[in-house]
Order: sequence, then structure tokens, then C-alpha cells
Amino acid sequence: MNQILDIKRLGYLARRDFLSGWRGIAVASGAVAGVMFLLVIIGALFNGQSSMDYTSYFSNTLIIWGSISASMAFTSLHDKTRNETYLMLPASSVEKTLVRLLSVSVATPLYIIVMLSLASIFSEAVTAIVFHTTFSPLNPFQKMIFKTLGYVIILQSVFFLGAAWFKKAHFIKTILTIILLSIAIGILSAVIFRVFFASYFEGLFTPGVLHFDMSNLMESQFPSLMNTLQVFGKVFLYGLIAPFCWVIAWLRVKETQSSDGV
Amino acid sequence: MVTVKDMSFGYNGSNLFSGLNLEMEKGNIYGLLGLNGAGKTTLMKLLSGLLFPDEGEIRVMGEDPSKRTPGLLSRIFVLPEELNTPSISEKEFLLSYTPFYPGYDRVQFDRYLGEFDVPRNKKLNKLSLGQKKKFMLSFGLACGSELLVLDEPTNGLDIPSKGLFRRLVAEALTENRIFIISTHQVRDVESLIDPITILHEGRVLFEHDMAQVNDKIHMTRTSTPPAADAEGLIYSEAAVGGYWAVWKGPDMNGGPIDLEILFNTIISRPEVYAELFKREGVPA
Repeated sequence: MNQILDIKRLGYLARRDFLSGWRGIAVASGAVAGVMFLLVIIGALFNGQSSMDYTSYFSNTLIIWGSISASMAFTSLHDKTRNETYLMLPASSVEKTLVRLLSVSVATPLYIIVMLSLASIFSEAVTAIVFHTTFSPLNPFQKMIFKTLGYVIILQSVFFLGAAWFKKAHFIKTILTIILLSIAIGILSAVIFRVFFASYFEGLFTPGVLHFDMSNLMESQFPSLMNTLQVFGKVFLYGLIAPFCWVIAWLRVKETQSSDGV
Repeated sequence: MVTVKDMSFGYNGSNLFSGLNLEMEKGNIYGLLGLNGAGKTTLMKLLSGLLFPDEGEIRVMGEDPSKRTPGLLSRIFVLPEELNTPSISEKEFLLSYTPFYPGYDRVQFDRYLGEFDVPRNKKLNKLSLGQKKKFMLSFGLACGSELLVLDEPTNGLDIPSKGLFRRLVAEALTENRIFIISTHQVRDVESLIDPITILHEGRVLFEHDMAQVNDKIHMTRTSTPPAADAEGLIYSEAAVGGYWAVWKGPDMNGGPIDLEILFNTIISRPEVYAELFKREGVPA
């Protein structure tokens, strides 16, 4: 039997996670679908037609639910009352990480799409019957949905890493870390920009001209650099952030000891 | 089956174990004894791979437990002192956990639960502490693991269940299995554990079976205290209604060894025991 990755064990882990977590998912689903139903009814009541923007509701739900569920992916790893059972579960750290990753990045978005589609069909059917509105439920196959999914997977990977890295308050700590990193990158960028374009400044950070377009300026000054930076940015955003976070999360799971529980 | 070589481990810079050596063989129920803070639970966690040693080597069934490979983990069952059972039914628990243990035996599990009289229709988190312990013990005994690490297993068990626990563990012991039982309630497991391993001040102070103990010392219980300078006296202790005395040499009548007294003697007179067991080439 493979000691690193075995599909059967992965399935057993997924089943175990589902059995211990389905009640919480059901409650959250009820709340999300219930709020949506209420909004649809209120919209129909006051406007006489269904004014619900299902795509936005879906995107917001996916971002919030996805980030929270990713932040909670490793609570059993850090909770000292549960981490011994989790660590002693006969599965490899790769499997334990992968099953949680698939759960938050694949199963959860798919579930939200299906759940919200069904809830929108139900809501639209009710308003169509009661208020005679037009029937226009969520279309799960539109391009926007898949675009949102891509962004959410990248965003989730950061929260997934936060879940494995931080011992408690994973969600808040991850957000704080993102804010701090953004501030640090902003300061660094400002300094680099100030150095590269020193001749355009009068004071320390006071531009010498009244208006300048940074991207035009960059393209005119460093055309090849801009192209390279754009390519690098895309590769970094779409190809590197998520795998980097997943690998670090796996290493964290691998090195966690029972004494790390809080 | 379990080997610890020159192992060191500590928390936050302070050394709990320094150069610890230990060997445990299959087919035994080891009693792991020690004062509070001696490191019994820590040692059990190190053997299970829940903690990683700072230095030295631990091998369990030929593998490094800190690698936590699925194959090895399925051969180890740990019953922690404090249990936090999930809010799931027995059926859900079995669906969740049994596939990971190839040697799991449903018939045995049902028998153990029946003998322990554990209610079958409650969610696990709704069971009492003793019932939770009996449930997890039943699972541990039935899961087919070869190394069973039980930390204070009789805590929370009622009086009949303690006797039942001794019987079921004794029944479950096979040539391929090894039990490590850490406890302060030595009377609960007195007739069960053999050999005895005593941890003290970061090292294994005593590691012998009861036959060796019976060969070296004997105990008497009298109504008056023994003379302090009596020949062969190692240790004496006041007990309810009399005195316990520990003497060098075997008891020709095969009298019982009280584990609590043995433990107190070893902790208070380690040098005497070291000497006693060293003489015939048995390292103390």
C-alpha cells in the first residue's frame, strides 16, 4: 500500500470529514438560502418583480464561505483536545492536506453552486407563483461564475495556509497578515518608484509635475520591463501563489506535533 | 518491537529526557510508572509519533514513529487520558474510523461494548466519561493494532468495569501485541502489568518483570514497625493497620508484591535497587 498517497484512504478521509461536518454545512446552507429567499421575496413584494442579482449573491457567498471554510480547514490540527486523534489517524500528511484542499477548493464551490442554483429555482418559482414575476434563476454556467471560481481558489489558498500556519483565530490573523503584507509591499514599491524616477520628484515624495500616468510613464521609460512585469505578475498570481500556499500548508501539517495544540 | 536509543527531549528548552534508553518486547503488558511530571505521557507520545525527539532514535516495529506513515499509524492505537469524542453516532464513528484499521474486528467490538455495557444509541459526545473511555477501549482492543498505548485507562471507570478492563486486556494480549499502560492507579492494574518501567528524573530508573522482582526482594506486612537496622531491610512504610517492609532476597512462601510499595521503595532507594539488580548482570 502506498504510504504517501492512496486514493482509497483519501476517500475514507473525505467521508470522515463529511460525517463530522455535514450538520454545520446544513445549518450554514439553510442560513444562506434563507437570506436569499427573503431578499427575493422582499424584492418581489416592493418592486413587483424579481430584482435579485444572483451572480453577485453567488460571488459574495463563495468569497465569504470559501474564505471561512478554508480558514477552518485545520482546526482539528491545532485544537489540543482533538489534535492527537487527528495526528494519529492512519493517513499521510499529504493525504490529510489534500483532502482538506479538495474539500475547500473543489467540493465547497461546487456545493455552493448547486445549493444556490436550487435555492434560486425555488425562490423564483415561489415569487413567480405568488407575485407573477418572471422566472429567472441563477445560471450556473455563465462565464462570470467560472471567473469568480478562479479568483476564489487563489484567495482561498492564502486562507488555507493561514489555517495550517496559525494556531487560533486563523481567519482574523490571515486578514491581518494580508493587510500588513500589502502595506509592506506598498511602501517597498513607493521607495523603488522614488529611486527609479528620482528626476520626476521635487521633495521626498512630491511629484515635480502636476499629473503623470504611471503606466504610460513606465511603458515609455521601460517598455520591455513592463511587459516582463506583467507576465511575471500573471504567473505569480495565477500560477505561483496557490501552489506555494498549498505546499507550505502541507509542510506545516507534516511537522505539527501534539504539543502545538492550543 | 519498541526501541529508544539515547533519546533526548524537552519542552521550551528544559530537558525532560536526556539520553533515555528503553526496550520493549512483544507479548507483554508494560506498566509505565512515575511521579507527576516524570514524563510518562510525553514518552507515550514520543513512542506514538505525536512528539518528535530532539536527539536520539526511536523505532517502533522497525519504523520511525515521527514519520507518521499510515502503515505504522494503523498498527498503533493511543487512548489518551482525556477524551474528546465527536458529536457523531456509533455508526458514523465506525464508518469514519474502521477503514483505516485493516485488522478491525466488528464481532470483537460488539462483544467488548456488550461486556462494558456501553449504550449504543447515544451520540458519542453525550456519553459519560467512563462510557466514552469504555467505548474507545473497545474500539482500541478490536482495531487490531499491535501497539496499544493506554494513558490512565482506568480513570473514570466504575469498580466492575475496572475488573472487566483487566480481564479484557489480558484476553486481548497476543504474541504480536504490546500494551503500554501508564497509570497512577497501580492497584487497578496490579495483576495485569508486567514488566514494570519506572521513569524518574528523565531516565528509566527501573525496567524489570515481576519474576525478577520476586527473585530479588520480598515484602512483609506486620503490625509493628521493623527495626531500622534489621538485616536485609530496604524500606518500610506505615500503612493502615500496620507496616509494610521490603527485604532483600526472595520470599520462600511466594508472598505478593504490592506495586505501590515497590514503586515507593524504588523512588526512595534507587541506589539499592541499582545494586541489587546489577549484581547478576541485569542492568538497573
